[in-house]
Amino acid sequence: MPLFSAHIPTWSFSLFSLLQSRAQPTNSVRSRSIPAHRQQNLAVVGCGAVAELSIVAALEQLKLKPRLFVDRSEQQAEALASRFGAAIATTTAALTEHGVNAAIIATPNGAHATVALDLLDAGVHVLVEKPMAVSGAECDAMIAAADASGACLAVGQMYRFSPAYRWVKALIDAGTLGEIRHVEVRTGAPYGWPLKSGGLWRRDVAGGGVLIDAGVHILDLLLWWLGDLCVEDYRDDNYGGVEADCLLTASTVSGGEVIAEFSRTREMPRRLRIEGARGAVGISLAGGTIDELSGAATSFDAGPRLSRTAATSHIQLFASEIEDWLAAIAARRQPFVPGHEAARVVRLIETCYRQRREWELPWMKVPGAPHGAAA
Amino acid sequence: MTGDSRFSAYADRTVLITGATGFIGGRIAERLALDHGAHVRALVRSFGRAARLARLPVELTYGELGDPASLSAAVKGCDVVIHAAFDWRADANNLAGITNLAEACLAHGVRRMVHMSTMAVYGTLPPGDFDEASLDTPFTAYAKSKVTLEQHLGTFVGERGLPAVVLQPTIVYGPFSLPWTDQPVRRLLAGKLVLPEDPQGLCNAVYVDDVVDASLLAGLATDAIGERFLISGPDWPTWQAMFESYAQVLGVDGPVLLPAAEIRRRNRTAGLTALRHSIHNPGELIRTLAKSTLRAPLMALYRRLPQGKQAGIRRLYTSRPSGGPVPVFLPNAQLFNLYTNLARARIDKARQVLGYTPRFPAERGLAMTAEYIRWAYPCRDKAAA
Repeated sequence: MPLFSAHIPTWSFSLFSLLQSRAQPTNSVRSRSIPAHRQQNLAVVGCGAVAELSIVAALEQLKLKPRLFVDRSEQQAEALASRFGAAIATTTAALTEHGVNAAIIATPNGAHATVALDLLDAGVHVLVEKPMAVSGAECDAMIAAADASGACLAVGQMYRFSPAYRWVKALIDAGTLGEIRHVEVRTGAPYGWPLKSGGLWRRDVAGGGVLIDAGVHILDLLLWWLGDLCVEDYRDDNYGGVEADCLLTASTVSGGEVIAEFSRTREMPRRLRIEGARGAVGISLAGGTIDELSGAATSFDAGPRLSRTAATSHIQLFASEIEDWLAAIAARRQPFVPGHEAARVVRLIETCYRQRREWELPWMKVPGAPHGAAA
Repeated sequence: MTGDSRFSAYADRTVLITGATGFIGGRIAERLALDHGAHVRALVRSFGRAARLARLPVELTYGELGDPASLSAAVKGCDVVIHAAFDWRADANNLAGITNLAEACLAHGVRRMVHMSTMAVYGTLPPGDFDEASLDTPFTAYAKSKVTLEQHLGTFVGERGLPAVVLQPTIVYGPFSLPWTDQPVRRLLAGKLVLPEDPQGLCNAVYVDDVVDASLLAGLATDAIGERFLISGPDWPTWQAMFESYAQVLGVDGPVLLPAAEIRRRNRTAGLTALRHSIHNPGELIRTLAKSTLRAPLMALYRRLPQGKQAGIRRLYTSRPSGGPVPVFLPNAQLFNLYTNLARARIDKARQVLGYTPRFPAERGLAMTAEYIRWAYPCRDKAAA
């Protein structure tokens, strides 16, 4: 029986419950090191901007030393490996040679599934960056591969590790807000990551645009907090490439309205607000903090372990997801964000793209020159 | 595809655009790829800036103006090259860039090179009409650089037979125009935007799609080689009318009119005012630095700070203006000259030789820009600015 299976037989239910109860992220990543018994022979696969700016910084914070950095570009792999005295390789075939048993995948989105499947089949534990994959079918295959080999599959939906967002989860789970009536999120800013290549701008490599790249974080939170969402309308400005701006209207199972707007070109308010029948909560996404409470939400107490005011940097969130994944491997439990959880947002995004309409922006059309949107 | 037969020749052409991640180059890429079925190749120096361009069915090619090999590879196979890039980091790159590009165009037999210059080459002009025969009297470093580039390109045309055309757009506004739409909008949202009271300057405004029309025409027109063309709109709104239009969309106060002497007096103490504002709103200072070219080294320093200090900086970064004096945006010397301008660009030459007919009188261009502003600034309250 695979240890990390999402489908647990009845006889192991009590054990699974025990393990699941421990599948909570630690709340204290403060430049401390991972205990030796939890350390694995690590590799980082994919050495682009995310690895350079976030994963490496998180590994350093946790005082972890990967053995191997893998990238098609030896130069990029070397740039990161040299900070740890690690080896480099251009393919994942080298993992066995270096005794790697756990790998963080930070390749372009379109390669997540291919790389993860190879590793999971070989029994290598995997932490794959968000999005888990670019289609529901790929997610299913990854989950099945992890089930079959017993490897731990965790997904880097790092926002779930934020203390403030966990506080919101507790607030909603407790029913304090009452029935959720309206959710509105508008976030984004002119894109500015120092990309190493143009891969993010290719649909076959990135799997899409701003929705799957940045929207995946927020939509994952909404699914986690509110349950399944039904896509009512989705429109974006993809004219044959990948979208930079998109607008989603959806509904919760109980009929609450959800409006989500994501942008790579505009300074958006970067704010999320959830309004229920008995109260509301507003969140500054720029700082990851709660900036508005009203009604019943003002007196909600989530207990001593959850702080709604603790600010967390994105490096800390990366560190938290790595720490949780390693702890899950060591304790042979499910990670905090397992494959079957992270697959939900991929399926939602897939539905959006399937139902896509062109976002008609008046200035795009010139009199006498009507154009039809491609793709 | 287009209903405009003037541009139908682009349907089977390959066009290289430099500066396509920017405002004018980006809109040229949109129009060519979406309306006219051209194969568009975009020279990209920084992939991180290509989000808008990446919405389009265009070919992204990495290259640097200063790297002849990358430019040659990008130019190879192109019928038309539109050079809309300008390197603000180092002027030497611009001269090297136009040289490398011109050489590549000659080497690969490009049919037409269109170089985007600027009205600024004429400097501060007396009241009345001016045209391409007016004297170059550049006032800013940018304008001086553009004069040099025009002259350098002229040598290639005269001595080497390069089929190049120079366009001199005036004040190009519209969606994603940083200097003439987004920046005034942000200033109107954040504080008071000051214009000189007297005289009420004229804006040689041109809506971006008219500049695109001119660029595409310049890529085809038979008698245009070696010539330079002013490209402006069909009318001359006042600067006040332009910014009032923006303010109306935003639902904020319009520009404040002050006498020239008062502007000069206030400019003398502008540094002190900015300092007072920063003390009250350190978040704004941090946000400005985060968007500047100092971002990378500052981020490296930030990462070395203890967690507590990092959290403090993040709080400031996400904070909203908390009081203090309302920012007053005074025109510097360059803007003062522009805002008091009474010279009017003539576009007769472009009309006659290129067949250029601007489609956007100010009223229409500003109406289109208003649609953009509503979309681009969904949080239009002053505090959020």
